[in-house]
Amino acid sequence: MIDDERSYSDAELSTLDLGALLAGGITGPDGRMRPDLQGVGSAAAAIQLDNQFVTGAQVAQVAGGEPSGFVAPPLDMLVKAGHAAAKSDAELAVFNQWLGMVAGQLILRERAR
Amino acid sequence: MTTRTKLKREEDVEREDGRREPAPPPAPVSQMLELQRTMGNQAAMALMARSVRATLAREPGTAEAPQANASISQAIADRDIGAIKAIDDFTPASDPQRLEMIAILLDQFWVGPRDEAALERIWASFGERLPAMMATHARVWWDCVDRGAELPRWTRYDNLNLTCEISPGVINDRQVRRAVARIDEIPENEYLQFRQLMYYAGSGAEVAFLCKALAAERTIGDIATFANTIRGKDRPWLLANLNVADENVAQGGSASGIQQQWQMACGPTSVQTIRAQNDPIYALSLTAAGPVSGASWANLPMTVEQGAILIGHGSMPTPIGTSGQGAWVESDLNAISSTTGVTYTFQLITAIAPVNPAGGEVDKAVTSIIGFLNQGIQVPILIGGGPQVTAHYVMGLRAQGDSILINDPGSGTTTWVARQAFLTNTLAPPLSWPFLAGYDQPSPK
Repeated sequence: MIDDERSYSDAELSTLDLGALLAGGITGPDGRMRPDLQGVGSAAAAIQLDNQFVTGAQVAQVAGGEPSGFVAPPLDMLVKAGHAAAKSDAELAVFNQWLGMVAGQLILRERAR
Repeated sequence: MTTRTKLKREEDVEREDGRREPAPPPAPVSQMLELQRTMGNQAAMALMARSVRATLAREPGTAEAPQANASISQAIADRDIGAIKAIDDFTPASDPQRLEMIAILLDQFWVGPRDEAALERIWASFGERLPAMMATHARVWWDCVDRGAELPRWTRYDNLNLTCEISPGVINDRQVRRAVARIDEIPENEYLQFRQLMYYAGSGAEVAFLCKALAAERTIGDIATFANTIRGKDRPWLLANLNVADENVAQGGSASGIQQQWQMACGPTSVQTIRAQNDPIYALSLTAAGPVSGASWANLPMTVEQGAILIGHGSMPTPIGTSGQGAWVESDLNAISSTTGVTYTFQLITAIAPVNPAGGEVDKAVTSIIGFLNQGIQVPILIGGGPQVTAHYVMGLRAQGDSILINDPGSGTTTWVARQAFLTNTLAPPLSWPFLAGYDQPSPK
């Protein structure tokens, strides 16, 4: 369970169970992206993918629906978890939007390195 | 410059002072294999589980854990490098705490020998989850190695998991040893990619086939594509599609295996067999193209390759049932030695009719063939219609007691043949010819 009231360290985010987080749903009752997924979840995904050498460009390609060739296994698994959690096309679109956010954070991490 | 020798010396001093536990004995592949062979999988797993239980016993939540965890928390809160290095046992720490401590240790201008030793202890404290943590925190692992920590690429947990997958048609102990040796040879980036492929594999059998491909000296790029193709496939699918001959035929039974598509293509088919049984990526390329048994040219790439090998020896491929010229294929077998790890030299055997004596040339040859098969090395065997008549290649796949599992490319049949059939010159049937005429003696690289 994510506590929105406190900040998480990179080490904590690197071990967050993203599968469980996504399984909780992509959107809230209002149809918008769940806040914990948007905030802590996207940061955790960026850290975990970065730890496995997945680049922002690779995630951006998948988010845009145009992966070119081989999709890295960690990203593939994340996308499959997201697609399994999405209950409608609208949620799928929100998930792709979330992937775009993850890609953005990855690019920031790459530039800050 | 501080050297590794110095670190070892410091550790030795600590051990002498009683501050450090003796280093645990290593569990090399050979020991694990021996254990598995002599005691079986369950016993090997039980032995490994003892160390796992010891680890779990010190996980947070036990009576002694809170105090240890409090000192770890304090060391992290204070970013106290000295306090972190003073911790001998990191098992009470949570995963985020371990990663925090790694980050603190790495966040220094100079990572010295004691820092490296602490990093090594932290990684070791992940216990049986170490392979998974190495995959999911590959960048952290890389950083630690880059700063001098001596972290093994292959863990005893990898040994346990892979040796438990040793079985006919999946991977044999020789292929395991070749894979483990290659793990240490490949560049760091390729190793990390392979580690990731292992982690995201859908089953232990999938991991075994990835390791088999690595042992066959496939590139990481090839293996990555292969891993994507087989991910999630069940064991029967893997066995059926990543082999061209069934190595799980029961004694007394038979199965359909790879078959020659041209009149004199027994040699080329044996080359394909030995390559496919060692390289699952190549095997998949054959089985994905059509049936490998039957002689109807339904598998065009397989048919074309057999013909090309014949042509390479100056023999024109001719349809089955017509006359043709065969080929000695030892040079082709040796050309794939990077895949098999062996080279072959033909040994002519002179059989005696009607019966070969015990201890005679045929008997000794059978003993030699069984010996190589028991080492996980396939052996091409030459048979014929009489003594010294080298008419036909068949492939020895594995041995069990005094019997040899053989695929005859002429009929595409994989079946067991007992030593007695060799001695009495009664190989046919089930094979195409009755006499042993020779075999290709392997020399491991």
